[in-house]
Amino acid sequence: MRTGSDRETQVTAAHLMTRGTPRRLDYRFLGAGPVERWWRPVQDWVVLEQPEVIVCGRSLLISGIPSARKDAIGTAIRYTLVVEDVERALAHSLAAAGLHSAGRARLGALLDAGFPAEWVDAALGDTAPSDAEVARRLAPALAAFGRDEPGAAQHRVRHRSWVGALDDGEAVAAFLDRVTRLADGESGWAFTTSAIASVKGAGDAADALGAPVAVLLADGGPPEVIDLGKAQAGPRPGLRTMTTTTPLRRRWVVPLAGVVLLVAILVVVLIATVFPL
Amino acid sequence: MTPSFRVAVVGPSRVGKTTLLTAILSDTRDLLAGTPVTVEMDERTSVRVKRQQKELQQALDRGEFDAAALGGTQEINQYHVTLTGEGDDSAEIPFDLLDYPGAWLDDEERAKYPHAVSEWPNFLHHVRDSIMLLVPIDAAVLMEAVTPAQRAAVSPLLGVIDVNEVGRRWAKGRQMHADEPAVVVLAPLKCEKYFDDNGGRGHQAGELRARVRERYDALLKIIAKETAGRSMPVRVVYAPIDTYGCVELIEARWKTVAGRPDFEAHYRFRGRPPKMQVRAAGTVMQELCRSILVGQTQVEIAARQGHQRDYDAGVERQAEAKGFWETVAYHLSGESLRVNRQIRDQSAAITRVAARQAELLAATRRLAAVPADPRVEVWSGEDWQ
Repeated sequence: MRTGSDRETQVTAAHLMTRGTPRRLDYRFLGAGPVERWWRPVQDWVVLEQPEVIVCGRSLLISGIPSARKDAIGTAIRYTLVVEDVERALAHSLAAAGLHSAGRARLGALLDAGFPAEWVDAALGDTAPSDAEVARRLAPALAAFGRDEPGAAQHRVRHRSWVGALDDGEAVAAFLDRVTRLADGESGWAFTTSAIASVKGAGDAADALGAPVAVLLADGGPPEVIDLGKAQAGPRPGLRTMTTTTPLRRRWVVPLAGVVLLVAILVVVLIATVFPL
Repeated sequence: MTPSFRVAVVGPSRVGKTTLLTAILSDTRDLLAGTPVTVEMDERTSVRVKRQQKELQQALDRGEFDAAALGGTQEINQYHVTLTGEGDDSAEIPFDLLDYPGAWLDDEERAKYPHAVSEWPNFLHHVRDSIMLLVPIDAAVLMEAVTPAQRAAVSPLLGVIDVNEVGRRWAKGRQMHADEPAVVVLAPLKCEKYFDDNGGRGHQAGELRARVRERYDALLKIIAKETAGRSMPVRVVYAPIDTYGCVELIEARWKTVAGRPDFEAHYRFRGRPPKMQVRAAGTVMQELCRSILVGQTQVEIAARQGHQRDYDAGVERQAEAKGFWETVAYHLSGESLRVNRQIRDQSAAITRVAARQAELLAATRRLAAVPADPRVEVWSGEDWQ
């Protein structure tokens, strides 16, 4: 849905997922929700019940945003915010907030102010809100972010795909730089993950996605940014690759065929010599 | 690629599906100590379970249960696990457990989730192929219902009708795979208040059993009817689980929200400092491993029969009476080499499969001999058939 804020140029659409207090009001988008679940390709590599930041092109998702609301059995409720066609300053600012508990807490408080418990319970119950109403309530929270243009990149990582640690300042700066460049139109992904905790796991994710990827591991991240590109770049289109794992039997086929052909020719020549026409 | 065995969990929102999965996947080395099997999780499953454990530990340290982990599932999550028996010939047997947002169970609610509508057939497919159906039950909802209105609210809150429907599909699937195991586990969760064997003072174990039996009688009847005549009968396991062992219910409140009944429960940790003392989850894990071993044994039997058929065909061809020219052709065409190789390969395969089968049978027997948690019961089918 379109946001109705005075900062309308910063974002085309924003959606909010949360749950209600009663048991049956499970996690769902308020209003219509995104037309396309664009984060589906990385869904198996993240835990959306945990704090995560996922950016694909100009779309951004932040999960695990804490609400002060509690559900029927006293468990803390959270939000997942999805913003699409987001402008670079807002993308940078929201992603930066999503990477730290203080930023998520600030965002959560702003969302709580716009989405009180009674309203959410009604909206997820039988009184579905209009898109305009959700947008109106989201606008102040989004307007609180993205006021400042991100500075020139000082932490640019040249690797096509890389993995770093969420608690490594350099990796976080590089991640935010990648987020800004994605918002500027570069293709690829940037995401944090609580689902994997190894460089190998990040490499597997990069392989599966087959696109430039920047990954921040919440746990088990490397001490410095590591290039994943070499492992997952794969062959360039149009190039034939020589495999080193050709089975022994297949390797002998060509020479063997040559020898058989040679013998056949010799036999024919011999026969022709002994029994001339 | 080896096909995975599957396990399905069925229950409405906030009933404790993820809690149950975490309980049975946590500390598997402890849960399966003294058994002949080990369980390994893939990286994503392991990280997920460890994170949930870590957050639970942080909540224990804070002493605030309401800040605990496992705050509701919002996407389908698959847990990939591998079971390995002891012995050199033991195969690695993969199995998958599927978790999903509980609201999807309700037709009316599911219609409000566009991607749930598209994902639901995959869930049902998983259910149909599952060797085990885990049914987590919120013990407090069952036990704190006192007035007629509260008792009337129990079934909707536990999603009993929807659980019955999924149970029917599961049973139909089991009937289609009659040579595979079929186990249904009724697992009341957070039972600490009702038992006196894990630090609590409750004496309502019998009452809990009776209420579970009453509410899930229809499910058991459906399963019995759908699987009538099955050579391997459905095993019904009643496993009241303390998922924490240090949590107690301090306040239960029944209310009506938008014309529908709801139940709020507030818990707190008991003991200073509170200590995790999970009960009965190990027996569920043992049941699961036993089912997988039995299932894998059936797979090996089928494989052995296949190898035996090929071996017999080779021996038969070799021994077949052949005339002079056929014998010449048999040898010159290379068929004799192929047949000899087939006999040799199939013989070796039969020996390998037989060894694996023996390992599996031994592991199953040893697993069956491991004492179950005294709380856990295997219910006889005679009462509801």
